This record gives sequence, C-alpha cells and structure tokens, in this order.
Amino acid sequence: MIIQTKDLVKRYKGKIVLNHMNLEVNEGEIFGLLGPNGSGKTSFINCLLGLTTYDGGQIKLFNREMNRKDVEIKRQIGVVMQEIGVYEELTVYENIDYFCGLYVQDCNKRMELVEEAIELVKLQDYIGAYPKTLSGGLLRRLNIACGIAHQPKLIILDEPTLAIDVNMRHVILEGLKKLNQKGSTILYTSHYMEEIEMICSQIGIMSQGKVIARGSKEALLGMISAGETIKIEIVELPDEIKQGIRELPHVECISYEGNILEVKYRRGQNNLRLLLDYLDQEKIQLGNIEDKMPNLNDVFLELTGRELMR
Amino acid sequence: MFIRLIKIRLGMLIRQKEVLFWSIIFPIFLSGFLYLSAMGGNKAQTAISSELQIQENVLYVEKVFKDVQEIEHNRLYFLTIIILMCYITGFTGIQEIEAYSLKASAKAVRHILAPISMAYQTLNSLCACWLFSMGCIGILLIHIRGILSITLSGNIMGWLLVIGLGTLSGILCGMIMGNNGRCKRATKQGLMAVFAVGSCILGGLVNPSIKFQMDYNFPVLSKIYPPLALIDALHTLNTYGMTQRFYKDILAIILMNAIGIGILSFLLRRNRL
Repeated sequence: MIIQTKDLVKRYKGKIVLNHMNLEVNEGEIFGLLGPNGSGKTSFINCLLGLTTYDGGQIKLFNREMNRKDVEIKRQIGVVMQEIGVYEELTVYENIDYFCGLYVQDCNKRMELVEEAIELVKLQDYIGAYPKTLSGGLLRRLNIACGIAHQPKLIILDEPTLAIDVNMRHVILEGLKKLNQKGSTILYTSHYMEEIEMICSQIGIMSQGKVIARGSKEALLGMISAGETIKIEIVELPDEIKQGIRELPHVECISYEGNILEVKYRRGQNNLRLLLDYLDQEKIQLGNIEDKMPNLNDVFLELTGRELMR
Repeated sequence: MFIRLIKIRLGMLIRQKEVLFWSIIFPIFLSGFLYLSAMGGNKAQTAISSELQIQENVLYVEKVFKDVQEIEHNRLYFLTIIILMCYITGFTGIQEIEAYSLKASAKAVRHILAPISMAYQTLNSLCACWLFSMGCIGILLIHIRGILSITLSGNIMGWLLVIGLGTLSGILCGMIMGNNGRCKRATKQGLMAVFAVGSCILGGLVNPSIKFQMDYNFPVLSKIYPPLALIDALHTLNTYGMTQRFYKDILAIILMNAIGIGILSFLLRRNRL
C-alpha cells in the first residue's frame, strides 16, 4: 500500500473540510481524485504531505506513519501543486536541475533525468528561457517538470493542468502514463473528468470532505441506474409514435420539445439501433442525432444531486 | 552538495538587478554623496566633543580626545554606512527564507518535501547570503578606502569580526521578516529599509552626536540593540581603541544573533499552511 488514510478529519475555522476520509492507493495505480472545487482535494493532499495539521485519523505513506521529517519517505515523493513554484532567477533547465538536484546527487544521472523531464513536458525549445518570459501554459509545464524530474515512486499532482491547452494536456497525461509504466504510483486530483477518465486506473469521487465512491471508471458507471441519452431532431412526432418509443427495450422516459426528441435509457445495449430502426419503420424524417453515454458527471450527479464543474 | 547549492544561490542573487543596485551601487553613491557633503565640515569633531561633555569618565574622555586628533572628521559617517549596508544586504535573507515559508511561496512545498533537512537548507541559504553580503561590503570598503581615501584603522580581524557578525545580524533580520506570509516582499523590504536606516540614524548616520546622545541616555539599549552595538564596535575599533568595550559589543551582538537564530528556527518549526 502506497497511501493509506484512515478516518482523516480536518477542520478549518470550525468547518469540517475532511470528514473521516478513508482512502487507499496501491502500488502501480494511477489514482484519480475527482471532485468539485471545495470538496477537500487540496486539503487532503496538504494533510497527506504534512503541510498542514489534521484533527484526527491516521496517514500512512509506504506503510509508514507520515512525518515530514522522515527523509526516506520524502525521497520517494514528487509533488506538483496548483501554484507555480519555480525560481524566477533560474532558466527552465536550471530550475529543473536545481529541484532534481535536491534528490539526485550524481551529476550524470541528474542530467539524464532533467533531459527526460524536459522531453516529457516538451520544453526543449525553452531550456534557456527565464520563467517570466514564459506563458501561463509553459510555466505550468515547467512546474510539472520540476516536480517529477527525479522520477519518484509516488507522484502527487494537484490540478496540474490548469491553463494548459487541450493538446498539451494530452501530451502531459501520456507522459504521466509513461512514468507510471516505469513504476511510479500517481495520485492525480482534478475537476476535469476527461483527464481522470483518460489516465486513471482507479477513481475516487470526493464530495464534502469524503470519498463517496471509488473504483474503476466502469465500476463507477455501473453504480448508477442512468444509461445513455439519445437526442434526435424530428419535425413532427405523432403521439402513437411516442408511445411506440416508450415501449422499446430499456427506455426509461422520453420528452419531445422544440422538435427535439430526447430518449433516456436505463442501462442496456443497442439502444440507438433499435430506436433508428423503429423510426425508419414508421417513416419518420430525422435531422441531427446526438448519442450521449453516461460519464463520471452523471455518477456524481446521481450520488450527490449536484453537478461536477466541467 | 552544500557548495553546489551555495553557488546556485549566489548566482541567483547576482542575477537580480535590484539586489545588485541596493547592495553595490546604492552604498557607493551614498558614501560618495556623504563624502562630498562632509568635505570641509567638522560635524564629527563637534559630535565627539559633545560626547566629551557628557561622559564623566575622565580617562575615557582623554583617550577619545587623543584618538580624535588622529582621525579624519568625516570617518564616522562611513563607519555607520558600513553597518547600514550590513542590514541593507540583509534583504537577501527575505527572499531566501520566502522559498522555505509555506505561507509566502509555492516553492516552499518542494523544499520542505526534499530529502534534506530544513536546517541544512536554511544554513545553506544563510551562508550564500553571508558570502554575498561580505562581498558587497568588501566592494564598499575598497571604494571608501581606495577612491574616497578615507583612512580606516583597527586590526583586520576586528573588522572581519564586526562585518561578519553584522551581515549575519542583517540576514537574520531579513529572514525573520521574510518568514511572514501576510506581507508582500516589497513591504518586507520597505520595513527592513526603515529599520536599517532608522537604526543607523540613531547610530549617527546623519549626525554622529545622535549616537553619543543614545549612548548617554539609553546605555542598555545601545549595548543590546544590534545595529547600535555594531556601530559602537566599529567606533571602538577605529576611534576609541578600547579592547574591553569592543569585546563587550561583540559579545552582545553574538548573543543577539543567537537569539535571532532561535527565533528563526522556532518560526521554521511552525511552518505550516
């Protein structure tokens, strides 16, 4: 077990921020912690790393009680926080080299690691640039490189891709996957569910200071009754056709407003094909078709009654 | 590793134009300005005479008077400027400690979680700042001695002791101030500047007689307040030549620096979000 928290409680000015939070992250996992702003993700990480005190519970990293004076634990951790933590007076290369140098003494080994980190975040063209000359996205990439350059066993990333464009986000996430394949366990927090869905093997959904559900993406989607939703543009829809659609397999409910037919399904397969076959059989003229499968937002919505911020 | 980190930190300090301005250019201009304004005047002599009037110890007065004959009238200003620079270069301590303070900088997380103790890292920063400050004051001394041709007397070990402890005191002040996460860096630097200039005015930066008034009216404060004790130590070294008084000053500064280190380590222990 790489991370284990038991009944973790954190109060801030009388308000409970972490409410008896239990979490376990196993070696080799990419664990995604998903939750809206204010759900307690950053507070959890701060407690985990000993950056703030907590009011109750237990935290273990690498099966040892977390203590920020424990050099052996710290040697195995890499952190990328939301705020940019780099030196303005050092170039991109020097920044990564400096922070990597706090962990790796050997000069040649360090040079290799720095090159790999630069390659991972695609900063090759900016190695001589100073942070103040970089855009927000490039700074974020530098921030990530500084945190992971020493290739630790546990990488903790707290919403690291804010302000990074979609293409670069994909590059970084692919890079994290590679680090995971090399043996790093990753704890990744975000409120971008697409990122979590893309890289995480295990996902925990946080709400009001506790993990309300955890498992693989498929397992989480399996926890909810909602299935896919199909929207079709139809100019005219007689009542008997509506009734016919209601009688199709897995249909939960339908609505028809502003020439848009919306059909919500319970879980089941071949829904779109069955619906299109039926409408074709009834000679109904169709416009645009939209098929939406349930996602983690639906899981969150069903579990908490609130939407995740997208 | 220790030396590699010191080199990096020194490199960072040297790359900052504002740090170079305040640590090297500003004192050169200030000493040049004071040199021009003090040329031909005898304020310092007047000031020392006023001290002669308020000191009751005749032997001491005679000793001071004898030494005053041998010094240039405006040397006292420059001794105060040197101590002022010990505190102005203490600005470097502000930015160094900010990198370790969770409330002041995002870099602190990386430093706290690095597998090196905070004491080691803080000591490293302290050494880098100290070397930088000593270098800046060395340049100032070369300017005062070489270009302005002001005679500075006293043994070299005494000078090194005063400047070494003075820069340490300035950096510790900067670090204690820099640890505060509520203020912006510019505010901290402003407060540090007010503290440094204010203390040095009390030590005779504008008019040396103020120093003697302080010595007479607030003798305990003059001995335990580090900038005043440092200025007094330099005066003793250059003017009075009283070994006992010099070592009393040095002892007081060492004691105050030790208290500063204690406060700093207490603040770093409480370094949490």
